[in-house]
Amino acid sequence: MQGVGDIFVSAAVVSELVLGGLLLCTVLAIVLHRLARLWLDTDVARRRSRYDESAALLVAGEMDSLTLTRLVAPRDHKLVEDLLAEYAEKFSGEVHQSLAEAFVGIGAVARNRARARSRFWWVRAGAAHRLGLMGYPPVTRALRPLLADRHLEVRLAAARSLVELGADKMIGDLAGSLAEPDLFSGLRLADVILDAGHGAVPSLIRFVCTSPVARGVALALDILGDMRAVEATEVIGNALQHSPSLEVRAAACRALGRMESPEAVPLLCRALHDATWEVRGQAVQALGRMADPAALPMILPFLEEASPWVVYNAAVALGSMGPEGMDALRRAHGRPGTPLRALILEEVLATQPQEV
Amino acid sequence: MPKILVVEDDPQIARIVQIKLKNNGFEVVHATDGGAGLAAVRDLHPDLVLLDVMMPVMDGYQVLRAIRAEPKLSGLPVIMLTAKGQERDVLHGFRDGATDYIIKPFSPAEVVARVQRALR
Repeated sequence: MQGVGDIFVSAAVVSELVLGGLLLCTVLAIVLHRLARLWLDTDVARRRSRYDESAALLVAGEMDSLTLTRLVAPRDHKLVEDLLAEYAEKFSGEVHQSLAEAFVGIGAVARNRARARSRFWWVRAGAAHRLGLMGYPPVTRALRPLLADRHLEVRLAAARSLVELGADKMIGDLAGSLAEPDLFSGLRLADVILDAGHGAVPSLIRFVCTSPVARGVALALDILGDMRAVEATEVIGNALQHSPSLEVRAAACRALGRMESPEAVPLLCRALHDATWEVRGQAVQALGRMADPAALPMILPFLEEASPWVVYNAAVALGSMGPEGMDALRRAHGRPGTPLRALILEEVLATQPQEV
Repeated sequence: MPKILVVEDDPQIARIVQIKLKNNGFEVVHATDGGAGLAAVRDLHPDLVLLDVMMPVMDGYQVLRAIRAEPKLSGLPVIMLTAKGQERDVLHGFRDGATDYIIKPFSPAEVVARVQRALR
């Protein structure tokens, strides 16, 4: 009969054997995995380099897209899609016509249309980016719904792709997104809308007229100003006069200043009497940007404002209005005032170009 | 046959440029970094250099300055390949003596046209 000690010894031996076996299996699995990976990488690299030559010939115009698509084995469609996408990012012009045909030929368009409906946002964003690279105009139909996606990255990728494809007018759909709660997202969207150019102006105007979100409206006004969308002057003027938001009124002044249109001058002159110094300062700055000497008598009193920022803007504005403005600035400098005002005027006078 | 030196570290761009230039009657030599490019300029005496800006070892501007510093090479046409977003550096390139510049992404046909114009 075995003693208790012998049972323990046998159990220990068995457990050591089991552990040893497990360890061996793990090491074997790792080695096999590494080998398989190595073989796979080498195989992919080999196939890729074979297709790379054909892709280069296609891009250089030495091979037609039909010949290339016939060369590609069905299992390599994704690999060649990635390869062609690299070329699409590096080259422009006539290349994109043949690349678009090749993308269609290897089923990349259909594959990415399906990926654009994925439940994972990063897959949808990737598909939106890839569809834009393909340079195949009919994909705009698949991209447009993505402008209303719940995830910002997907909307941005779709918008950039639509701009690439020349579907600028569709970017207007993105204007509603300017009401994003965080400013950084709003700024990124504004950047894409700005890239789209004038096609987005009607949607931006609609957004300014209807949105209750002040920060979004302010962004839309800044974009309209950067685009110098003169057709929006009336809407911007309305926002300047009637918006209860300081942010919106200040943005409206900036926008009018950037337009440098004569119609903006009376609107800005009215804004000089705004109740808040922030808006008055923006109006002064905008009038200064236009450098219209007719605005000189209206800007002059702002050298006596309590806010140093308004005084600085008024001084810079006067400095940009030629000899008359400079004379007014020098006279103001000679008059008594607060030390801060004197410092500001000295600084502005020192940075103005000297008369010869 | 005019000899063109392509100094470009991206193999795909280098390959396309080489194919296009060869098919348009140019002899093409390729260097993959700035150091090798400068050595090739001195040894092979190309008629024109297509020079990428962002490269290992020496960047395009360093190579360009080294070329312009040598009296024998000061008249050599150099076309810079500048990435989108580096347009501000174009002025920098012209100041250092670049003949022309091409902004990436570019059309392969445009490269040929610019090379032909620079050699005219």
